[in-house]
Amino acid sequence: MKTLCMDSAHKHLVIVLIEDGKIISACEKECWKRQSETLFPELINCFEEAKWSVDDIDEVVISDGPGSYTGVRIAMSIAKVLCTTKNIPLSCVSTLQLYAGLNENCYSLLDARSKRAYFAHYHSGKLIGEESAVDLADIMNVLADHKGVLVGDCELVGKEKKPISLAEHFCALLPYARKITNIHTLTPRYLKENDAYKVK
Amino acid sequence: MSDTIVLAIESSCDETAVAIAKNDTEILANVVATQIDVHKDFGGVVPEVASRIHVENISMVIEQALKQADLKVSDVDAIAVTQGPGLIGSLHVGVQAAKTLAWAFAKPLIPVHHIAGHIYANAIVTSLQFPLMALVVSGGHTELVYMRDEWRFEILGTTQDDAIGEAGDKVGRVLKLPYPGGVYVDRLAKEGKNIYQLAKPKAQNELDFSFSGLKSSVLQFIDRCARKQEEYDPASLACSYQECALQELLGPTRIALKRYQPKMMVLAGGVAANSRLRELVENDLKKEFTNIAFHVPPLSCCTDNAAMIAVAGSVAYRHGVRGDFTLTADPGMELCGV
Ligand SMILES: [Zn+2]
Repeated sequence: MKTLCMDSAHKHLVIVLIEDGKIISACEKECWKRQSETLFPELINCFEEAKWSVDDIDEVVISDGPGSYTGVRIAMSIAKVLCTTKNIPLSCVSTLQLYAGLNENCYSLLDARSKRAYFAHYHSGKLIGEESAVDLADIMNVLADHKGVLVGDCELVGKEKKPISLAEHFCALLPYARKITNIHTLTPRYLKENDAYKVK
Repeated sequence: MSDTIVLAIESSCDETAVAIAKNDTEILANVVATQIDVHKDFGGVVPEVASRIHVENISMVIEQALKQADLKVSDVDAIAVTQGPGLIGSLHVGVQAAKTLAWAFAKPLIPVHHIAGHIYANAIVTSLQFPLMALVVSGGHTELVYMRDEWRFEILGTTQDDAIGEAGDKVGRVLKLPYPGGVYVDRLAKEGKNIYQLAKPKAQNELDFSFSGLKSSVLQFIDRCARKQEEYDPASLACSYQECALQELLGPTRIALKRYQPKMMVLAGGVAANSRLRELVENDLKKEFTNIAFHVPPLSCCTDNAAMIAVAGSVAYRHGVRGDFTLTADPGMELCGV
């Protein structure tokens, strides 16, 4: 079973090639707003390193947001076209879930700008409550009352960053990925719904 | 010689479009998912909304085009895509989709300039003769392009401020016409007369254009009438504006035609659908320049679509144009040096 994982939704570019639960090749780097030109060269490198060809792929897994609107659309455009033209099953994990991995009692926080962050509580890969875009001040209140691991853009709430491997998280989260039944209709989860519709 | 088949993707503004062309100009498929109804609600194209609809549509539109042509991606020789200019977020979706097909099916990737597409839309219905002059007019462009030969572009003149389509849309908005305003200004103008004095636009270079002064003049006219509580005839204002704008368009065009003596002159872009512009070309320019073949494209070739990118992409493919996998959307892409 060969799985291609991609995440371009936030500050990183993550590409992971997994075979039977083991990482064969991976790229994980900070790539803020440069995912569009960087993704394919890195993808090609990974495939060369793993000695895979496109037709070896059994499934694709991507993060479908929340995150940078443009960023999340990069991997999703690729996945939608790849999976529909090559007949490959597609699954998604949330970007917040990807940062949380299988950590227990984990708070995942990603910068949503304007003093807000995408925020969710995950426990061993499962969502507790809901994902939302929350004011940083409210997040600080939640964190003051609740003990747990914090991942993502921790510095926004004055906490130290915990080093994590998004490639390993992808690998660990495969059983938790949501299978997409109609790939054509898949859209990113934007969360801050109203912003897009502000007419300049 | 075997057939050359090019699949093209266009997503520079508010249409998600995929087309397939055989041997340059035979269009095997042409699918456009338009967003116009959504943008009507906002009175214009909202870039983030446009990008969202592109990502929603892209894989479906590709599938439909392949179905229409009864082909598989593996039957195609090259993948062409609009690299720019346009809205960055919108362009990204098309460029990533094109790179995906190029990678997954090991096909050459051909980056195409949107304006080259508009010009080559004419090749679908007529055979282009070079040297060729093109007047490219749309919501984003007002350009005089001279082509000494196939796939050689030289921009002779461009707008120093608004594109003609943009100015028309704004005038449409102040006349309280539906979106896209320019189309309705053209319709309304037919019921009016050219009776109002508006400020004549003046560009510095004789082959350049300017429309913002004229647009402001329309706004000031309406303000003045409101202040003095005077009535005016909106149809005649539309007509006066349109005559002034089109004369501004034809002035530099005449100079360029005299100077460069092309074999052919074509209209291109969305505003080429303007009925009065088509009339002026047919009735005036044709008679003034009897040595030049004028081509006014059918309406279906004017608006954004991918068939034009497929045709331009086919020519570019023959000329050895290739993109590599670092290719990215270029919202301000230049036509020269293509
Ligand atoms: Zn256009």
